[in-house]
This record gives sequence, structure tokens and C-alpha cells, in this order.
Amino acid sequence: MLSNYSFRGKYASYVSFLTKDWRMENSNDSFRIFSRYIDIYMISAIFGIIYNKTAKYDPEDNQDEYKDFPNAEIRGEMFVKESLKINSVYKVMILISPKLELSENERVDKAFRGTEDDKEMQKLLESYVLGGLIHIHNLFKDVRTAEEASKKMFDIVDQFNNDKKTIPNYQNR
Amino acid sequence: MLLNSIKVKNFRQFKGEQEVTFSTDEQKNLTVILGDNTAGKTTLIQAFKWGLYGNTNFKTGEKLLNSDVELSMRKDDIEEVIVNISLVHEGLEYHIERSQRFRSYESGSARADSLPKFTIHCFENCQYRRIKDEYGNMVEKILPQNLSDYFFFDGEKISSISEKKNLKEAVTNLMGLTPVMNMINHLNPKERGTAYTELSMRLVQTGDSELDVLKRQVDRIKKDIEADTATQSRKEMERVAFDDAYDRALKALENHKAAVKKTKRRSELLIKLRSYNSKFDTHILDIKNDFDNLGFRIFINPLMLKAAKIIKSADMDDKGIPDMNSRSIDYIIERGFCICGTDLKKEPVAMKEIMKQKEFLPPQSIGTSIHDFVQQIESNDEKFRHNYDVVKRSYKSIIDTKEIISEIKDEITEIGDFLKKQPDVSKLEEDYQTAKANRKQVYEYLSTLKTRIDDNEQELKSVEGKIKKIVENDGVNDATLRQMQYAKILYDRMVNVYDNKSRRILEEMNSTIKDVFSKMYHGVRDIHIDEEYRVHIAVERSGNLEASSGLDVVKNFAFIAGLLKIAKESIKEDDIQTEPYPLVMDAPFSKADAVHISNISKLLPDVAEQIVMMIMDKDWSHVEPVVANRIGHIYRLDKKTETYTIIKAE
Repeated sequence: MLSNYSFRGKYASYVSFLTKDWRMENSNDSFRIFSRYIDIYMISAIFGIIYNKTAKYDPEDNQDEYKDFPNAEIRGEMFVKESLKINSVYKVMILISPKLELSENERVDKAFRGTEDDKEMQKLLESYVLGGLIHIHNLFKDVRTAEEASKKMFDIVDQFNNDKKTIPNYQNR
Repeated sequence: MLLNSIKVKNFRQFKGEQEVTFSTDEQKNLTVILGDNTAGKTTLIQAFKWGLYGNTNFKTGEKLLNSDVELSMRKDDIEEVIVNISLVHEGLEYHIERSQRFRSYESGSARADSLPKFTIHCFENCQYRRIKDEYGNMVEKILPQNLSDYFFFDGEKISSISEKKNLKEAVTNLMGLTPVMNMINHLNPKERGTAYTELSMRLVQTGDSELDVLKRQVDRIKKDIEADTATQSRKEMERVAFDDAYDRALKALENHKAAVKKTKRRSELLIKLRSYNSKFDTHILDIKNDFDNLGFRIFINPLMLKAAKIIKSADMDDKGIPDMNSRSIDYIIERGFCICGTDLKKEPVAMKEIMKQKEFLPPQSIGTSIHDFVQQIESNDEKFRHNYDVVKRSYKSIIDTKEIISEIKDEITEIGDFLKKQPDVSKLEEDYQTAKANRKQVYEYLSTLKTRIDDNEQELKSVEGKIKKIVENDGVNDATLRQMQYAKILYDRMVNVYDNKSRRILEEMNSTIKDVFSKMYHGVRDIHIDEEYRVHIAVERSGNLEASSGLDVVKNFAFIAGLLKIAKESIKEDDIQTEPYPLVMDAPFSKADAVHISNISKLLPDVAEQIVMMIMDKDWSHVEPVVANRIGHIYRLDKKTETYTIIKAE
């Protein structure tokens, strides 16, 4: 994907929240949960796939609340810069998404032989991004200080560490 | 003292002249007067008390003069009430008579028209003479009124006999110690107004000018000492107050020094707090950076592992040449010879083979890609633990720093609270200096006072010594000095006598009472009297009314018996002698049970010189068997009417 991508409406508000500057108590430094929109994009996609959460832009969503909310745009060059990571997410999505009715061979073939211009796959990826974004926003929405946000970050990482113990290790296959 | 007889005339219900003669036989010393309730037993006791002391305890409306006699009187008739008691005291016979004249002012009614007449006659050396005794002092000597209740008592009062107040005084009196006590009081050198101090006062009243001067000196010095001692007491209280104030001021200042120290510490803590707050922020940013840098790899790890499983299941193995793609093959074909140098145009088999390889290279073959991806997954998984630990360490730093910050803040708060309570320093210093000065001043003053008092006491000793020397050398005072010496010796001796006798009396009383009690009481009990002569029984009562009443009766009889026995045995020491007394009892057994009646009756004739027992028939039936051989005289009070009783000898 080389073109720009924008989060709109309520998703833009979520992105705005997740990238807002929290003033540090004892210094002039500022703190953000996520530094870049592209990070939100990638992590949201991962969370969307992990928790099988998808979402889409619904014209029937209440636009009044967010109608004046500016879009959160990711420029094309950011996608280029992080192409390796995004590519990994894309491959993983095809390989394991339950939303695709493909055999394993077909998944592998599509993941490794297919191109990123596959509109269907792009649409699926976006749905995971939006679904994951809602999930992440819910995790952080009650945070009020940098300290609380940092605690939440660690809690999420810690949860992954705990969950890992239940996921069969690749080396043990 | 022994009673011979009592004659009554018109005394209450005893109309006309009537007489009771008491047995004075040593063995048969019991005189019994029988009579039921209201027959006149109590009246006879009243006759004794009126005759001896002029007292009556009649109820309201009751009269001295017999009612029948009064009713029979016509206007201006005169009648008399007479009580005449004959007794023996210290070997002499006395006749004590009290009479009251009544005049009738209208028929059937009379009243006393003069004061009672009282006479005492004594029969000595075959002569009968009247004793002048306006104030009844002789009767007091024979039987002191305050003791009379012990020897003339009625059954109703028996329970309270041994619980009267001033028992000690009564016993002391009975035992003849009152004169001894009087002498002690009279001679006491330590009290004012005694013979001794009167004598000592005489010593200095010689008119000698040197002595007068010295005496005045003594007065002055004593006054000074007294004044200084009073001041010393006041100043001592001030000293205590100033010491307290000083201690408090000193402590406040010390607290202040602590405050200075704490303020310094607080400044240090504030600097430390700033540093740690800064560290805290740094650690938060660290975890944020870790999240940025490592978050993706951590979060994608489980997905990658799942994907790896899918790849394995698909088994799309890599058959391709690593790091080579189909463009590389096209290049080789175009240049015409292989990497090994084979001319492909000349070798069609080689050409065919090399073109076949294109199938296994991307984009036609995905094996390489799969291989690369799997390696990426493995690499990511290996680093997962490390990545997680990095984030965890950053978070731990946040926690640790926060804890330290909390501790610092707590200490700062604590110091703040302490400092809030510290008063202003300048005021503290002022208080301290004031307290110090006051304290110093009062100590100095007390020291001066002490020196002055000591000096005065020395001087007093010296002046008194001079006085003594003058007095000793002065012949005029010789006699007085001897008298003072004599008085002192006598005093000491009397004190000794009194103490010894009191102690012996108490011991004897205790011994006697225990002995008598054990014989009178049918139970097992322990009894003793204390220094005030109060009777104690260290027991538990049976709860039975009769038994408890019986216990009281026996207790009090034992007490009386103790008194009588001691009096009878006439403890002689240093010429102090007591006299035995008779025992006149009115219905003594009204509250005792049969066993006790029997026990008491058996014992009493032995403890008293003479017993007069006024008793009801029902009680007499229990008593008579045990005292049959001790009966001297028996009388019966024959109640004819409410107003007329005859005393009959049986």
C-alpha cells in the first residue's frame, strides 16, 4: 500500500486519544501511548486478529458527534517505511484468519504468492484494524495520567506473557 | 457492790410499800423474781434507776405515782413516791433514798409539787450518818451511771449491749483506770495547762533581769525561726513551681534544636524528592519507548506461532535455491552460459534443466519466502522472553521509584507536622531565661533562709543553755525543779501502769469471753474483742432466726460475764482495785432458745457476785433445773390489775 490512509469519524477520535500528549508531572516532557498513527494501525491489526474483532465504517454511525473531528491520516511513505512489519501482519492474517474459507495450502499460497493489491484482503485487513482499534481504545480510555497509561501498557504486555504459556510453542510442534 | 434490798412505795404499779430482799449468800447468790409480761419486772429496774440517778425512761403519759393512789387523792392530799435501796459498797452499808412528793390540786389528780429529795446514809462504826451528796457523786462512785446499763438491763436491750459506743471508756471506768487516766492527763508534760507545764512556767517568773532578758531573747529567736520556717514553706512551693517552669522551658528549647535539625533534613528530602520525581518520569518514558520498540514484536508473537503451525501443516517445502529468483535464471539464459561455465546454446539438456529451475524460484516458487518467514518467526519467538523482561524491568523501576517517593513524602509530612507544633524561637528563649533567673533567685533565697534558721537555732540552744544554767544555780527554783521531776516520774509511771493494765484487761477479757462463750453457746464459734472492746464473732450464721438471736444473746452475756468475772476476781496491781458488781436482769432470755437459756443460766451465778433475775414463767422452766441449788430468794410479781402489782415472796 503506497497511498495514504485516513482514520475517520470515531476512529479518528480514538486515534487522537491514543496519540494525545500527556503532560508529565515532574518535567516538561510529554508522553503518548502511541507515538505514530502507523503504530496504531499495525498494533490494532494485530489485536483485531488476536481477539477476532472486526469493524467497518458505518454510514449510520452518529456522524454529528465526530463530524468536525479531523481525520487521522497516515502517509504512504510510512507504509513503505514499515512495509516489513505490515507485510508480516498481512501474511499472518491470511494464514490464520477464520474469516477466510481457505484450505491451509490455499492460505499459504495466497499469503506468499499473492500481492498486497488484493482488494479483498485489504478490506479484511482494514476491518481488523478498525476492530482492533476499538479494542485498544477500550483498554486505555479510562486512563487519566501518564503513570496510569504506563501501568496499562505493562498490564497488556504482561497478559501476553501469561497467555503465551497457553500457546503451543513453535519449537514444540 | 452488793444489793441488800429495794423498797418501793407507790412507785408506778407498786402501790403502797413493797420490798424485795436480795440474797447475799455467796453460794446461793441468785434472787429470782417471777412475773409475766407487764407484771412489773421492767418497772422494778426503773425503780433502781430512778432511785440511784433520778432517771426514768417511761413512755409518754406514764406516771411515777401509782394511778390508784392518785385517783383516791382528794384536793390538797399529799402522797409520796419513795424508792429506797440498801447496798454494801467497799464494806460499808449505804441507804440511798429518793422521794417525790405529789399534791392533789383536784380530786383524782396529782402532780409533783417539789423537786425530788435525795439522801444517802452510811452505816459505819455502828453509826448511821447522812452523807452530804448534793450532786450524786457518791452514787457515781458506787455505780457510775454510764456503767449502769451493763448491770441493770432488760432483755430487749441485751442484743445491743456489746455494741454500745464508748465501750472502752466504760470498761476502763469499771476497771478503775479512770483515776489513772485523770492523773496522766493532769501531769502530761507535753500538753498546755497541766501541772507540769504550770510548774515550768513558774521557773522563769523569778523577776531576775538577766533571766528576763534571756527569756525575751528566746521569744524573739523563736518568733524569727517561726517566721522564717513559714517563709521557707512558701518559698519551697515557689521553688517547685520554678523548677517545673525551668524544665519545661529547657525541654521546649531542646525541641527547638530538634526542629532546626528536622528543617535541614526536610530540605535534603525535598532535593531528593525532586530527583526521584524526575527519575519517575524517566522510567515512565522508558516503558513507553519499550512499548514503541518492542510492542509489535511482543504482540505479533502468538499470531506468528499460529501461522507457523499452518505453514507446517501445509507442508509446502522449500525446493528452491536460497536467495535466488527467476530473473537470475533469465539473466543466465540471456548471457548464454551457466555459472559453472557450460555453454547453454551448445548444451540443450543443460538449458532445459536450468529453465526448469525457474519453477522453484520466486515469483514462481514461494519456498524461499516461506523459509525466510519461518526463520523470522523463530527469531522473534526466541527474543520474546528478553523483550518481555525489558518491559518488565522498566515497569519495576517505576514501582520502586514510586515507593521511594512515597517514603520521602511521608517523612516530609511528618517533619511538617512536627514543625507546626513548635512555638516561636524568640519566645522560647525568653521563657527559658526568665525561668532560669527565677529559679536561681528562689534557690539563693532558700539558702539564705536555711542559714538564718540554722544560726537562730544555734543561738536558741545557747540562750536556753544559759537560762538553764542560771535556773539550776538559782536556789529559788530548786523546789519547783524537784516538783517537775516528781511530776514527770509520776506521769511516766502512770502511763506505764495504764498501758500494762489496759493490756492485761483486754487479754483477760478475751480469755474470759472465749471461755464463757464456749460454755454458753451450743455451736462451734470463735469470739474475740478488739482494742475498743467491741465483740466480734468470726463465723457464719445458720440463718435460723432463733439461732441468730441466740447468738446475739450469748455474745452479749459472754461480754457481761467477762466484765463481771474480771471485776469479781479483782485484779490488783499497784493498789488499783475494782469491785464486783451485781447483775440485775429483766427478761434476759426473751430472745434465746432453750439450750442457750440453760447454758447461760448455769454459768451466770459463777461469774457474778449476785444475780437478780426477773424472768417469765415459761423461761423459768428452762432455767430452774440448772440453777436450783443457787437460788437464794424467789419472789413473784402478782399482777392484780393494770395499776396494782403485789410483790410476793415464795
